[in-house]
Amino acid sequence: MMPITRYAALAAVLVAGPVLAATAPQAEPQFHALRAPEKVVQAKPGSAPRQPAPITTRVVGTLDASGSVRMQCHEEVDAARAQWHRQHDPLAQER
Amino acid sequence: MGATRMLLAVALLAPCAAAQSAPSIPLQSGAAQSFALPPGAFTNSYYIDVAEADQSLAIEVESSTSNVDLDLLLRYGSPIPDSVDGVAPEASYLIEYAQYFSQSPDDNERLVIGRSNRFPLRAGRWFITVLNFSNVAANATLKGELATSVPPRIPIEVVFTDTSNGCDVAPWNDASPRTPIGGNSGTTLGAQRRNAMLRAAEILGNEIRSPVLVRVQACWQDLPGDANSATLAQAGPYDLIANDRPPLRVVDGLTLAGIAPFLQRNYTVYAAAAAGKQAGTRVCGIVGFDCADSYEIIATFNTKIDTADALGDRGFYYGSTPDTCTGNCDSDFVSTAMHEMTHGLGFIGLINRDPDEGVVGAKLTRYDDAYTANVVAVTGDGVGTPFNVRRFSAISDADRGAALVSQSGLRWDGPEALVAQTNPLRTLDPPNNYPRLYAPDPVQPGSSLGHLTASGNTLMLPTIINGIRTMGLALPMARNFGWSETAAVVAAPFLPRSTIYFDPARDGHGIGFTRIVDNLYFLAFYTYDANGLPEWYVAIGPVIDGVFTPASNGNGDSLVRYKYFPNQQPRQRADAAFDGQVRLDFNQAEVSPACNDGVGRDRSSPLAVMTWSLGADLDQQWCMQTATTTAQRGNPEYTGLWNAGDADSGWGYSVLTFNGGSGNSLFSLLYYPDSNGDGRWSYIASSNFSNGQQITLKQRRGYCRTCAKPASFVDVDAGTINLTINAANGTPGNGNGATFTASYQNPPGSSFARTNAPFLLLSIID
Repeated sequence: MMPITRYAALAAVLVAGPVLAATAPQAEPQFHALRAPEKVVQAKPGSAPRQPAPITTRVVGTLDASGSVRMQCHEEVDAARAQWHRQHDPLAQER
Repeated sequence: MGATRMLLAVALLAPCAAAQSAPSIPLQSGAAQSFALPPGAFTNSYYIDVAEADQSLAIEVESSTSNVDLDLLLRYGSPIPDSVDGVAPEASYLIEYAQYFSQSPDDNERLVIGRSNRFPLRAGRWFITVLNFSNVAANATLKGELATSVPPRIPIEVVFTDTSNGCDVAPWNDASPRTPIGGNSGTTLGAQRRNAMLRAAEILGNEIRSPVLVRVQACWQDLPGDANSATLAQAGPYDLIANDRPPLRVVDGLTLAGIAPFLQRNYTVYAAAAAGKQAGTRVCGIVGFDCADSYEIIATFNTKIDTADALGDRGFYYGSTPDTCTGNCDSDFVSTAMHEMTHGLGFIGLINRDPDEGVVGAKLTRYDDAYTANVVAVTGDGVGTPFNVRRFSAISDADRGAALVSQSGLRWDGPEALVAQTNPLRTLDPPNNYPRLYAPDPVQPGSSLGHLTASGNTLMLPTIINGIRTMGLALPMARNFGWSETAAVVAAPFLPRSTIYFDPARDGHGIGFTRIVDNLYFLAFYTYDANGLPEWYVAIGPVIDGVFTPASNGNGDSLVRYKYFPNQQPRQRADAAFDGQVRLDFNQAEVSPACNDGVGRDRSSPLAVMTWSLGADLDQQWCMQTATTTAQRGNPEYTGLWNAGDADSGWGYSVLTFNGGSGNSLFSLLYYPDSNGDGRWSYIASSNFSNGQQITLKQRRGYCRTCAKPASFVDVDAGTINLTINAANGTPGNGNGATFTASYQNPPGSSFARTNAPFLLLSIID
């Protein structure tokens, strides 16, 4: 059976956390263990192979009648990059 | 709170209460604190007090220990927990508590925020968490910096040396001699190219004023080109980021989606640089990439330019000052680079404009994008026909397609742009003062939407004009897609309504979601198994910044199925065979894909996106609304979570009372175990409830959570119940009582019954 004090403790923390901090100073930091920290590290993509996002803009220059370059900008989806991202999710995490 | 207010189904639900020893060490601005952080550990001991006058806060941690991975979390007003019911928390849970985090795999992290961030810097206590993921202790140094001025601008960095992804860097070092030109002092072609690129980055950096580093990978490649036409350059954001709840992942081959609460708009795609500005850290810190290998923008130029292979003798003009030529002009490199990098900052709409690629007007991803979120489709002229202004992202593909070729109907209504001096329409009345976006007929694939109309002399026209050296109207527009410098409004504290919720697209399933104390809520998910038989799962946890965030139990589950053992103590045990996770996010659910599925929903109370996983069904998202409107509140009001007290735990009720038009209506789920100890449920409905009334329990033959919703449901009688409710409280002996016999379909022929059982309220009635 879960002790009722768990709720009471939580309520106390939620309400009085900052107050406790002000009235009970201490000089040394407290450290707490993480559950399964190695799992998080594995999940970080780190230096996994990457490709830029598939969305890109392209400026096409065309010679006009005056001999100057007319620069027209287009936005497009780079199909190869999109395919790569579908197949290589660097963020795929162990569940 | 009396012991009888224990939850019906959580007698064994261990991870319910987060514990926090008070953070005790104040950081003084500018003064470093050093400590040795043990391996696989974290500290919440530090905080920094912000004064009214402060406008900027920077927190950084670094380690002098080699090969360690430190992460940094920041939160206003309340600390991040040390443990959850005495159990060490997972790092992912701590990150969910944070409002800002930086979690690269590096040994140093930095966060910088100001008043324009989503959780704006404000007076009070900001709590800091430092984590060490390494298997060795890390000698860490933590420092906070407060300033009474806005966060300092960091110049855009251009990297000319990275050859990854086919990037040719040799042209940046082309030794061909050149005469200095237009303020560019370079004496080689390579030097002039680098100087021009740096000039473009300098101008953008000075204008956009990012407090977080924006890093550009600068490349050349052999791109298409011939004597008359050539690709000059291409560019884009290196990453796209959206805030969503399932674990971080790539969505639609396009967007990195994960927990990013600092983004101004949820379920909305931001360019990497704009996301970093809002996060207070680079995308590598948001996602966990190596920062040394990370970029916010990639810009690539064509190696054919400046050669005889393309555009005859026309090449790039590399001057810092505009070219004064009037004919036979080269392409202005600085203007081109500025234009393309501005797209990389987020001036980009994720809407299909190419008929060869699909429906014109269709979204390229399930999310809205931050640029398009500022676009409206305007019809009418305000004279002969009234204006009709509709949010471009919220209309149908066909209507978007029509707006894209409307010539003048595609407009920008972001507030900064409307009043900007660079908006030539600013003195007109709405919507005539909305800047026009490029919307020619026929649609110009790639050019429509993502540019301003071809009038005026500004950077983001579809046809780049030589000699532009300022962002112009693009700058206030950028403030609307992630680069805001306007002080953000502090969100009012929000606690969701304590009632029953369901998704009309998945009705028959639902949740009793009730507040127990303070911000602690209990969720009972009543649903059906693969065979359509009723089953239920529970979760308990706090609502943090509008998100129900239950921690995982010892089995790693935050959504838990219990087995009932009537003759044992405790009577319930979490079933480790069922993997379950749940989150309920009430923030901006109305713009989520789940809530934009074409199904009508009551919005009198905020919608919520319920993200859940059970077994093989991963990361499902349902759009939940309250079962009744706020106007239908019951009188008397008994809506809440009820049970029979500690002595008879393991079963209970989600009750909903409401004004159904013919009296005080009552709907209730009865959760109970079958003879195998598996959770089952039945429901009752009374349109005019009165004490002692005998009500027939119904058990529904439903449909599995991922199955198609049937046209109709089959309900079977499952016994009867008599309820007496005299008091809406949890006090034993309150005069309430319940007598029932609930039979079940599987296994058949058995039942769960009580006579004159206590009927005690466990939750808070709103």
